[in-house]
Amino acid sequence: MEKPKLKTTNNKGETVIAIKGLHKSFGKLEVLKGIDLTVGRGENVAVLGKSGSGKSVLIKIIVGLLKPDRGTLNVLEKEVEQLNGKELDELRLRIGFSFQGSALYDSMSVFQNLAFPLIMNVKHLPKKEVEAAVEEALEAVGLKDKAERMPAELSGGQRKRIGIARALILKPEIMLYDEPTAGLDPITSAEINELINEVQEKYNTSSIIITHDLTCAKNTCNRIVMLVEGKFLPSGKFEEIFKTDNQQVKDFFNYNFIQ
Amino acid sequence: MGIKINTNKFTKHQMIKGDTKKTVLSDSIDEYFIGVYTAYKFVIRFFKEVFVPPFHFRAVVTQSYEIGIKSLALISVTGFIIGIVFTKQSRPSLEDFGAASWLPNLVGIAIIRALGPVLTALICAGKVGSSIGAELSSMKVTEQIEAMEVSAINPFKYPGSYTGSCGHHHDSLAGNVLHFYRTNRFLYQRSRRRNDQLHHFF
Ligand SMILES: Nc1ncnc2c1ncn2[C@@H]1O[C@H](COP(=O)(O)OP(=O)(O)O)[C@@H](O)[C@H]1O
Ligand SMILES: [Mg+2]
Repeated sequence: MEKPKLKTTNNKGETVIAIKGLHKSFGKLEVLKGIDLTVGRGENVAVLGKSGSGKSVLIKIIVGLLKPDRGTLNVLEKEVEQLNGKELDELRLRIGFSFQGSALYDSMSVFQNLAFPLIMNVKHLPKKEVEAAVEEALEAVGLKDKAERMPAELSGGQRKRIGIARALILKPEIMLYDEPTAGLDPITSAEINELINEVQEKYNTSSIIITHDLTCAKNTCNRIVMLVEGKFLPSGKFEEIFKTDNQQVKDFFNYNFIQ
Repeated sequence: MGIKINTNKFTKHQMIKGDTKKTVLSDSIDEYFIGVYTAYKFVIRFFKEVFVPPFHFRAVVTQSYEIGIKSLALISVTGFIIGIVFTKQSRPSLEDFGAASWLPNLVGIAIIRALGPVLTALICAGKVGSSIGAELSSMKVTEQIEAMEVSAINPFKYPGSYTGSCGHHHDSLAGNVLHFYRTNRFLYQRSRRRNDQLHHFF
């Protein structure tokens, strides 16, 4: 599968996420032990790591769902920890978050799911505009005909895509994908990879993509970092990471491309 | 670059947070008190959010419908049965005193003024409370609550559609009040009618 060359690393110098020395533990369990990460505008970064290594915790800290114990966290030039409720909400509107389990509101139809963040955040938005925005987002993920369905009536892959559409509806500058292809068949995974690339090209978003899926990482990301035992291994392009001596990284690759 | 990163300048706040990781009494006792504190904070926040705008009136109406009117059948049946039992049991005694004609008033007042609110409250607490609890915890597990927070929606404020989030408690209050009146009126009419009928019947 050839990936279209990513051309959107313009305004390269600008950093949208800067994390330095981030620590997080739950009780006695130390999950993150000093994470450093910078993401530039228009850049896609893949975070690899085995299950339970703290990948989800990391992106939840980025949107302020969890509080770090130590370290600095700068997102879109704001110190996340120092923001009050309102400022944090403003920041969150500029970040799209696609959850590991899609997290669709299961009492609402697909349309309502997408319209909900819009209606709640934009005051007095005409109904027509809401409909247009929802249609655009559904079109972007290729599920225009599913607007009236309930989440329970969708397949896993469709739910993931609706989750991405919901994150896209507020036109975020940063997208955080939590295992977008986990548990999906190769064809659907490829579709989602394509979707991630399209999103990046269309809206020039920066993304952090959490995944175990190396094909996904290879096809969507400019850079790959690997989270091992609470720390990042040196980041690099897909091929550079591939050449490492680290046993954990090797195991990761060996499983994905049976050698 | 435009972004300066302070590597080793931890704020006072962060230092204190680091310190609280130390055990004070023992791990399990500490955990217990932290749990109590968290619950306390949650309740305080809930009451704060209830009285602070924005209010979602439509959600309140929807929830009142869901919680109040959809419990009507259950409450009516309960009221009906209590009415029958009451009437059947008190009529013989009243008759001995020639006071059988007071029966409708007795039953009416006892049920509507005294038992109605208690019943409604108990049923709301039991039936509605547990369904809200179940729905909320499933929303928590499937990260729907976090999804709300991430799209800058305060989950304390907005109850999803059926039993959305924590904001629900305030809706259930509204539902309770609404229901209270409805049931009362309903029960009153019912018991009046029923008692008249029974009266004729016996
Ligand atoms: N809210 C929480 N409370 C306590 N422990 C947590 C919490 N969230 C995650 N953890 C723990 O942190 C570790 C990393 O979790 P997570 O980031 O979800 O892993 P993954 O890398 O698979 O996404 C796990 O061991 C998990 O048990
Ligand atoms: Mg995870």
